[in-house]
Amino acid sequence: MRNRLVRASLVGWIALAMAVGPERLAHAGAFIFAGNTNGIDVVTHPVGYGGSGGLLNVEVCIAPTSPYAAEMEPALLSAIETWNARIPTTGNLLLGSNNDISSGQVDFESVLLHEIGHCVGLAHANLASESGLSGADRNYTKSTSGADGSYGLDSGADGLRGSSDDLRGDDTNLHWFHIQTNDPFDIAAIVDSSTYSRNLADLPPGDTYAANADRSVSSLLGVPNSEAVMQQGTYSNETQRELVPDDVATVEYAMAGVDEAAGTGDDYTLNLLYGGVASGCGLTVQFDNTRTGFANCQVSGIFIGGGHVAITSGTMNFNTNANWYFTGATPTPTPGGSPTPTPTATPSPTPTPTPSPTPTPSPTPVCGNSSVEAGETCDDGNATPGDGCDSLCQEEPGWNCEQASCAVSGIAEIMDETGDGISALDGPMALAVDASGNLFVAGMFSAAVFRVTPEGEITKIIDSEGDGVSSLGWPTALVFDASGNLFVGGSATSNVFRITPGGTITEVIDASGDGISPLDSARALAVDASGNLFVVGFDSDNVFRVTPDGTITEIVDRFTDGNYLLDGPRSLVTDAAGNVFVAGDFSENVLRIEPGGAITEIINGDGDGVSALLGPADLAIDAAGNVFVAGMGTDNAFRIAPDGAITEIIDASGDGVSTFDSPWSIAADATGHVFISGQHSDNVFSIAPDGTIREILDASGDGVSAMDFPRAIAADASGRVFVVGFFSDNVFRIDQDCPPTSCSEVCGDQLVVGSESCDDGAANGSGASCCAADCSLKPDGPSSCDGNSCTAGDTCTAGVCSPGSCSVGMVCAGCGFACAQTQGACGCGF
Amino acid sequence: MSNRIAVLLSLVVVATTPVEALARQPVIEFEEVPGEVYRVSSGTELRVYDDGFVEVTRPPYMKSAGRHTLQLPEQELDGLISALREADVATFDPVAVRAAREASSMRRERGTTRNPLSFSSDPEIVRIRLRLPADASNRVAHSDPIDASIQWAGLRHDRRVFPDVEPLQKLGVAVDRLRALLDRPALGGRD
Repeated sequence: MRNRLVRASLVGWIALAMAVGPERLAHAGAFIFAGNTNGIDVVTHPVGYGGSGGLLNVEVCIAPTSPYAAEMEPALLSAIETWNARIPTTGNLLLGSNNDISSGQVDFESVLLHEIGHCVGLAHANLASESGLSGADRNYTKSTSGADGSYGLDSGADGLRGSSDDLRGDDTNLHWFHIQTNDPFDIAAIVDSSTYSRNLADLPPGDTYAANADRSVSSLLGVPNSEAVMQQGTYSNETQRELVPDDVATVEYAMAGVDEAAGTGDDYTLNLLYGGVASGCGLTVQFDNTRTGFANCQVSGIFIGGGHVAITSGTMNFNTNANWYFTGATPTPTPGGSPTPTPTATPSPTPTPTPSPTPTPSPTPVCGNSSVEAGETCDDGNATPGDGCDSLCQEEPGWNCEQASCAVSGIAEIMDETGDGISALDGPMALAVDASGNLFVAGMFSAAVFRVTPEGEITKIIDSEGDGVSSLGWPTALVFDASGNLFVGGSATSNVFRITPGGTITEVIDASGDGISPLDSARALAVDASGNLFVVGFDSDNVFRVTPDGTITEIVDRFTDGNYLLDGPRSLVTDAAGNVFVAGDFSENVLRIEPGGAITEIINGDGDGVSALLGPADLAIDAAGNVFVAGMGTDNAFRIAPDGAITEIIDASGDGVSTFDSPWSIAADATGHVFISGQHSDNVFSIAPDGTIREILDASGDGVSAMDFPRAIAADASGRVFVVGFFSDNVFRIDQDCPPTSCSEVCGDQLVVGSESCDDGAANGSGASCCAADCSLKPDGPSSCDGNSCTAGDTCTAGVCSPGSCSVGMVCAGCGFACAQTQGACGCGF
Repeated sequence: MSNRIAVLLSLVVVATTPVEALARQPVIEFEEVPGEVYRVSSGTELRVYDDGFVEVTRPPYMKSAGRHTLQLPEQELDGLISALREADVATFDPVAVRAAREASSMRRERGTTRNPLSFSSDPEIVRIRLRLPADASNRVAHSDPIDASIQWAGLRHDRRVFPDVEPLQKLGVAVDRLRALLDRPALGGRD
């Protein structure tokens, strides 16, 4: 016996282990993919399970391009913990004033918990919306519609849909239940095929159908305010953040492995891991209105043997138009309200001497215009689905889409030493682009920052007067936050100013640093998704975090725990997960500082082990989380992938024609292109995602005005690149033509698309498949296509494998087990 | 006798109704109900009248809940109705579309001994009703009066997974057009 049933309290759940009798037995729920098409006894497993036991780690990421990435994180962490703990709980349904959300809101964490359940293989416990039924009839227990094609819907004597006395005609039950009890709010000591069945003949005497863990059934069974998380159907103003026994039993049944027997070698333990805001995880969470009107989980899967399916990938989608309550947010009292971003502190009133930047919403991407814009993963020049890039410019499953190199279509000098005609531009040193396409240029020696509109209008927005109280000297860093505030770092004055969209200028940090450690030479700035500002002290060898409410904290300095760590920090970037990356020019390294404070050196002077990295001068980061570092002393640059892999992407040979000398600045755009300036070679190179290197600007500038000593680079969402000539006191805009995305079928990914006739993955072309190596069908004829070496007489016919026969007891060469006849085919080890 | 109802993953009802009875009814009705919130029963509703007047009602669990209105220019109303006609909303046959969907699955899986599987949870239900009178004095008149309803579950998923099933693609285009009205900044008059 094990005591593990827990009842939730009104403010969460309290872990009260309850004595549940000499043997508490339960039934489980249903699995996705089970039904008439794939088989009624299908058991579905999470990503990564292939039949071997042990710890099954499944990474769950937040998509880097998703709205509300920061708001989702607390809920996701909590939901992951809940699924990993798998604590069977009752009283998990908190309604009205018993929960922490407001009327009209929908609890994001509760819905996320439900969708994660789908994405690890669990189906609805009830008939749900996929049945096509309306209203309360969806509460009946999950089943097929039987041979007559109609659901039998008689709620029996108790009148409750989904209870144990339902009369369902010939509907085939899909809900796994315990063969001795029919109470979905208990949990068994052992969950496997010895205690569970899907066959109604195994029901306890008197029961006519498998009961599900609907809230009305819970009241009938004396455990009110309880409902399975996997029961479809929620209201606003309710939360379900804990699993009931039915949820736990279902996932534990799958964890018993392909032999469906607990305690054997193929058992696994599901362990979800938060992968951060990143790409490439087995499961992904995102807000994407093109994929759902509210919330769903979309998965692909594949049979791994017998009636067992393993998920190969999964995405949980949410719609931004729902009135979500995010865990950790402040309840909003008005129905119909919307989640709001983290508020920023209101600064004290200060002089506003100059016109202000005026950010506006980002332009809406246009699918089919051949330009990969924000939110798109491809653009093949059309909005036609089925060619690899769908009607919403998202790469389709089974295809590989690549963005070819862009070509320079024009170069123009957009600003020169005359500045705005009143104040000169002298020593341009930093650039930033806002959401409207306005370019901001910092002149170091002229101690001024200018805005250049797309139409070419130039306006000075701050000068050496600073905020009227503190002065600005040698502005060398510019960065925007998500609210449109521009931060300006002064190297000579060792301070940072914030300029709001309304034009208010406020000094947010000065040379006193955090009051303990000073800030000396604010050379670089970065902002994270939570609105925290990060400032390097180039000469004080440290980095400060300035929170939106103005709290200043030193997060790294020259020595940590006595170890020489950071010397001459020259550049900063942040990623979507809140990690901060800082490059130490003299310590010749790049450090990653996690939100919790852990510090890791991700590259040092050894570079990639072949080429060295000396004088890391600048950092950039792309949407996939790759960090790029420019080596000023070694005339090269490296890409550091999220998994830590280091690759040199350019060296002193440049593009093979023009050499590359002393890189100062590096930038990455939305299409994965990287741009880097060689200040001594007076040129700028573009490095395409496929590694192609092209020189896109040289000392001749636009052919009229020369470019001398390129330093800062910026790239905007439209594919334009901006470069400053530090000694020529000017700024150039480089326009590019980028070809449409090219998409090709992926033969070997088990997805049949385009001209492919079949795709058995790695088995293509082997004797175990009727599919040839090029994803065409093999000719009809004898084969060993079922992949089972203990059978004979297999044949391929029109690509379909007809297994031969096997003799019970015959030894399988592939696994050493005896053959058994399973569902008309030869299984190995079952 | 057990209570049995037909399995209706999708449903179509085509009927002819006297034009007079339709005079003050919306010419287009559209509703989208998310699967996960079905207990609430109603989704976002859109009604378009023959004079171009548009009503949008968003349920309490959506942002900007309540009733909103919009006046469509005649030209845009005509374009909307044309789009629904071109999408063959009036002749959408769910039985045939389901068959085409199954055939598409079969084509895709042909030759694979280990079929890749696809699943999307919590399918949303979309409903469209189109009423076009024959009365020549009515500016949205149609030579053959139309009163047709469509219901489909999981259109977003099916549209992505079955690009070769033309009726689903056409229905998707029509729904996109209707959804676009829901996002119009000009929607005002929240009640």
